[in-house]
Amino acid sequence: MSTALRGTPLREEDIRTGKALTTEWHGKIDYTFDAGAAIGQFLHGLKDGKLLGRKCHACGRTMIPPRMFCERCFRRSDEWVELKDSGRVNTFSVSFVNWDASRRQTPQVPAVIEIDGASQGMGILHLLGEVGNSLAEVLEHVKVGMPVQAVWKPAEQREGSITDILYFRPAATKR
Amino acid sequence: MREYVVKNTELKSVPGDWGVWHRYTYGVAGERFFREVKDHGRLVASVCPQCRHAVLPPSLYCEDCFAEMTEYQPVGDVGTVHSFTVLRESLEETALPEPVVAALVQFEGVKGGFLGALKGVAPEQVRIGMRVKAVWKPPGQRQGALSDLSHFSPA
Repeated sequence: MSTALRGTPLREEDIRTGKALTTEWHGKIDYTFDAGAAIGQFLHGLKDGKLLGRKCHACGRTMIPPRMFCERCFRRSDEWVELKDSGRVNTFSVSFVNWDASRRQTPQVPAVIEIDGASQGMGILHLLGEVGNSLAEVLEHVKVGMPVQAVWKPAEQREGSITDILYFRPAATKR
Repeated sequence: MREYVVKNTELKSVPGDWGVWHRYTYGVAGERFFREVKDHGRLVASVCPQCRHAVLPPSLYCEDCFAEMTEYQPVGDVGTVHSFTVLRESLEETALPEPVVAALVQFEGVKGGFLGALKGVAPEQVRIGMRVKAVWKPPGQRQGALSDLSHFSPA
């Protein structure tokens, strides 16, 4: 008996042309995610072009993304504070694949940005922009600790979403 | 401390849609089976070259002796009701206008069977062992799917 692995490779075309029979199911699964009190307010802030954090008076930390409860002190956080829309690169990646694993011609640069005015280590995940179109260019432009500045959508296009910030650009860049 | 929501409008909700879908390929034996259904409106069973069992729907391997099944044989359109259920509600639990009889039909000399709606007989008159015939959709409407079987009717 042969032990070689056998299979029947199929291409998209085989399915499209009906060479291989298939059945499909297309679900429509709607959901509404309740952002909650803290993130809800944070998203409202984005619409106004502001980054909102939450301060705990017990440990003194200013937290972004905001939470209504301080997980360190185990008590309710106390106060809303408006932070700057700038920060420093905590860490970053250079990605040549999209979320659906398709290839990108130019890299996307996701980064954790520590926001100015928040406590050390507090930041948000976003994208870096204006940092080059190749791996070499990105690595030349982007350094951990580099100051960056948010680039916002025009106010009338903002909808209360993290994508109201288009990306963060190097703060030193002349525009 | 417990937090109460007093103004729902201050909570931001984010709508979305999980664009979930799947595509099922039938595999070698399933492809052969549904191709026969689509092109010829007939059932085929796979046959084990070692133990000569015939299986419906066809399988690539014999469940009894694990031999690869490479032979296929036609199965007649007339079988017998092995089991049945009378459905009076839809999946959404609303009343159906007419009760539907779902029957598992087996065929002479073939292991397994085929599930379909049984029409042309009152639910109270369905009997295990009664002879029924497969009624296929017209050739142009068949897609190579389970729904190509319109229904079974008394033979």
